[in-house]
Amino acid sequence: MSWRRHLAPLLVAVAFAGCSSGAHSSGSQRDLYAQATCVDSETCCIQRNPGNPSACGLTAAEAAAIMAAGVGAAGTHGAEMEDHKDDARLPEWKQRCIRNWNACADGRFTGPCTDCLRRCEGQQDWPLDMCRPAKPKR
Amino acid sequence: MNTPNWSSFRDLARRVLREDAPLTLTGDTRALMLRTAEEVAIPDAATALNTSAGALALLREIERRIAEGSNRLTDALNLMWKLQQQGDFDSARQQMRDVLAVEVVPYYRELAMEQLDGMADEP
Repeated sequence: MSWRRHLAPLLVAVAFAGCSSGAHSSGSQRDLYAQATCVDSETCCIQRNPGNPSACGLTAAEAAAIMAAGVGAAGTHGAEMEDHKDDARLPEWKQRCIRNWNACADGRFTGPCTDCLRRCEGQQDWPLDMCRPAKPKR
Repeated sequence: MNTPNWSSFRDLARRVLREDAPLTLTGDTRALMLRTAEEVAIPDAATALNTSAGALALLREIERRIAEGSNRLTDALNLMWKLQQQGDFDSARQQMRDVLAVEVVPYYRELAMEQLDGMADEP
């Protein structure tokens, strides 16, 4: 199972953080937390505050990247490219940001993927000047 | 073509268009807008900067070209990669041709052309 498939639920939870409290622990999100390794204060803080990365001084993108790295370190991160599934609960621009972040994580874009996700969340479109499509192999 | 850096322009556009900050045409701001206008293929940008309304309209148009072009190209790229995985290179190539048929921003056109050229040897 790909760790990246769990990113969208995490971002959904973050997107709706503040609407209510204590209702963010979806099954998929718990899966992500369970898979990630609580190896330092940041990952442990994110796990203790599901859906509320600001409690750890982090943005959604930073929390997602840290948790994804934790899962990768735990050995569940496959090297294969996988089809990303959009989450229809998210606005179109956010689906696009996450879709492109997944493609970036797969190596289809080159650049600082998480910085590009963060900027995409702010300007609502993928910054192709920062993360451009990888040159095709000939 | 060098890769553009649109971060400063996007920050300016966000402040003015979303946060209602005034568009103050300092020398640096004028230079930024003129340079970015050229990068998105808008002619006569200097004329637009002669009035406040013209400057604001120019800011909006540059922002629109960057954002809409990004959405168009990244959507096409994601579909292209999916089609490539399915072995349907004719349809994958068509995704980039469709972008090239309407895209005016040179950097985006270059990216689309690069992908199209990369499929030249595919069936």
